[in-house]
Amino acid sequence: MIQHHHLLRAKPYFVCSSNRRKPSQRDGSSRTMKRIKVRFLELDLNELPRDDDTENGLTHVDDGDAIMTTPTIAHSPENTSQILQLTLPEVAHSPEKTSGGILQTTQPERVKSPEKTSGDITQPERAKSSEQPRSGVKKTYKRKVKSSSKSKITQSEISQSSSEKTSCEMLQVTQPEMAQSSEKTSCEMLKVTQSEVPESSKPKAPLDSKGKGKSAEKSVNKSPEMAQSLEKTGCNILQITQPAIAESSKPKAPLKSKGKSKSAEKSVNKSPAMAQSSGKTSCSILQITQPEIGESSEPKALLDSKGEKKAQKRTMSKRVIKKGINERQFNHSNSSQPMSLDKVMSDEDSENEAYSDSDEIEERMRLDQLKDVSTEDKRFMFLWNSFVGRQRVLADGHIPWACEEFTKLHQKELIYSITMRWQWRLFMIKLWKYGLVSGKTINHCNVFLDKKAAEAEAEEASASQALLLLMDSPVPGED
Amino acid sequence: MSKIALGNESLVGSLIPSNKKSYKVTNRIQEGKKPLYALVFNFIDSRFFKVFATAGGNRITLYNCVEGGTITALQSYTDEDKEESFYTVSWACDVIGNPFVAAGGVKGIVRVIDVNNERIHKSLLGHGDSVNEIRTQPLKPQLVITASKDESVRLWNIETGICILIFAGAGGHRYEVLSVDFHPSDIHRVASCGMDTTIKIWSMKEFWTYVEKSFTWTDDPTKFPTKFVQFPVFTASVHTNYVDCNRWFGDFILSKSVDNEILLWEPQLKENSPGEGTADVLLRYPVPMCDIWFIKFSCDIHCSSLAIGNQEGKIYVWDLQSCPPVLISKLSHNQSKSVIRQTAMSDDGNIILACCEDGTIWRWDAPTTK
Repeated sequence: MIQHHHLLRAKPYFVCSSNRRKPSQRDGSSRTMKRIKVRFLELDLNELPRDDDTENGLTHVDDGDAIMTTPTIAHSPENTSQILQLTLPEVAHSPEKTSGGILQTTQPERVKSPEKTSGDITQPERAKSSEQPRSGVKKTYKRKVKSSSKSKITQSEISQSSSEKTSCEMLQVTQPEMAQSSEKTSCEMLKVTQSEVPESSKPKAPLDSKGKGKSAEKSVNKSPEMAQSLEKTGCNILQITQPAIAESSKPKAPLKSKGKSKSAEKSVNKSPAMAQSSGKTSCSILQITQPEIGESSEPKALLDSKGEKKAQKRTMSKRVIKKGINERQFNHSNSSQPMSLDKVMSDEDSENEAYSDSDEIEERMRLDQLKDVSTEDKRFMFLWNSFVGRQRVLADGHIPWACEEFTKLHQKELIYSITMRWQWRLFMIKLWKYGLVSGKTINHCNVFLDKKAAEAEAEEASASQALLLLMDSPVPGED
Repeated sequence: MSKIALGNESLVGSLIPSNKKSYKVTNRIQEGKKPLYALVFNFIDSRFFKVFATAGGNRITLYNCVEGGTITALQSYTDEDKEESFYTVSWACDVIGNPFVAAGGVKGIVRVIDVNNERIHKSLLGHGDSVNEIRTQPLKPQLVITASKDESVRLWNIETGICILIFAGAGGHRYEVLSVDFHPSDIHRVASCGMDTTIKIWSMKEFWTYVEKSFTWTDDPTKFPTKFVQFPVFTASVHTNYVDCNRWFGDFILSKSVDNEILLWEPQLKENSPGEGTADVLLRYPVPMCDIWFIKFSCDIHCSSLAIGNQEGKIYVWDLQSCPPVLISKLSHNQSKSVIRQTAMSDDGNIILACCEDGTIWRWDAPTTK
């Protein structure tokens, strides 16, 4: 009877947050902000204002006085900031460190845009995820386990302590954020250059072993501590990337063999660590990617202890490491020519290579292969591609600048050849269609070209006039 | 990619020998048990026109052809790795004029041997698979080009040991490259052929500065900026099967597939559109019983005649100056039954050498006219 009664009077179950019961207490502005956020992301590309004088009355950044900081690019930032604002949904990730700012600051401006009931909560989150690669580094860092905050403190310890400072250690101090976030967050962060990942292990080292004064002195001994902290954070991450594995495997050994104080002293003894953890297939991976690992994991320490290494008794694992870095021959990926050790250890990144003359030759050869394209098309493509390659026009935001500079650079060709001018015109229209340039940029370019064309004509006219005058002038001697 | 012009039938040579020149066996040498894959006279240095090199097993041997049919062995080099099997050998020289021998095989390493000092001058690393042919640029004998199973063709400077160019990529061969040859007068042109049934003509003109740089490179050879030439000037589909030997004949190309004939054809390139062009087959030289791959032919120094062996151990000597083709002679011996992998004609065409699958070298001499 009691049950029945209970059921009759039972309220229907529904899940709700405590917030919902008190609507009045909710912050009105935050609600609108939330809504605006969602609306902003749902905007169609066509609705984006592209010109100065369009509807919506949105403030366009003519003055270059952007609300967000200009992105770090090689070229004049004034024009690019405008594009960044306008084309944000596509380019949500554009400037490093400023994307967060963009999203927040442009919201109030979008009040006029059509209201859309936002049932979809996932969109704002998407925006956030796109932020992460830029500003997310810091964010994820903050959300970390307490160990990270400790490591912050201990980093200063590192910089102060340790008699045997190597340049790697200095690097560690400056890069801890990136490195740490890369290990602890999702896989995407691990795409950070491998040299940074291993270094993350070092700042963490002093974490757990603050008592071990010695450990702070020897760069090697950071590994034991690092191992501990890594284990705490979860071993599954370690299996994801090779450098992570490599580094983690090394410190683990001293953990297991804490009794072996010798092992902690020599940098070589990372190999016992290696050996023990070499049960994993990561060991073989380690050998393959050793250049990066070798470099970041205190190459200087290794080099210093080379003599000591030879004197030491060789264990299987020591041989493995030595083979990997110093004995094994690496080949260039391009020409499969053997690579010298200093090149292996060097920090060169082929991403930073400049556009050379041979690249131009290859570009031309590639374009020559095309069969269904006219020669003028090929010429234009070649000019634009060379320009973009040399000037390193990498982001969407660079395009307006690139267009104007290209016009200036190739003004002669664009003025004198009608077909090239048409190529240029059609290309501009295509860029506009994809929202990479605004009418303003196109106008600038056209005005510039027309002016130059007029100048050229005027010059020709004056030159021909001068010639006529010369011909008409009386010959001296005749009167 | 190429269109064979209609209406222009190629002329086929007759297999009835004219016997303008008659050759007789003068010597036979058994060099070990391994098959001999290559045999080359030294056309680079006129002092050594009668010296030849052979490649087989893990050994490279140099011999001298003496009057009266005698062959004297001069030097022999063995690779310490028993697994190595040399497939090709070529003569080269350095800027001073010292003779070198470049050899390559299944390991993919090209050994550059200094013949005067009897030691290895350089070992050229880089190929990812076996080296099928090595040829020397007669106009600049420090440049050597190698064709490999790794589908690439590489240009090397044997003096400095630098890999200058790699002819591979989007437009490169799509299977093993079996043969390669330099143009006799145009220093920039190279023709290569392979198992993908195509013959590709490459040009090094745009990258010539790198070739010149390789001569004066003082840094580590592996740090040289090796460039990729990805697109050939012309690709010809004249054959329908593996093309295992091609040689320039002036501006024409002699190429052979595994269908019992050698073709002489003209690549007609379009000036402003690289990649387009036609191959016009002019003459056909039938070679019976020659349908296994890796049988190569050779010409004398002026390309006036051509010698090719077949599976039965016979040699056909064709006259390259006549049209329709005329067979000069057909050489056969009742003891020569093994596959003849490569022939070599002396500079004047009076000595023909053949190396066989059973490790024998046969020497045929034509009586010299007074």
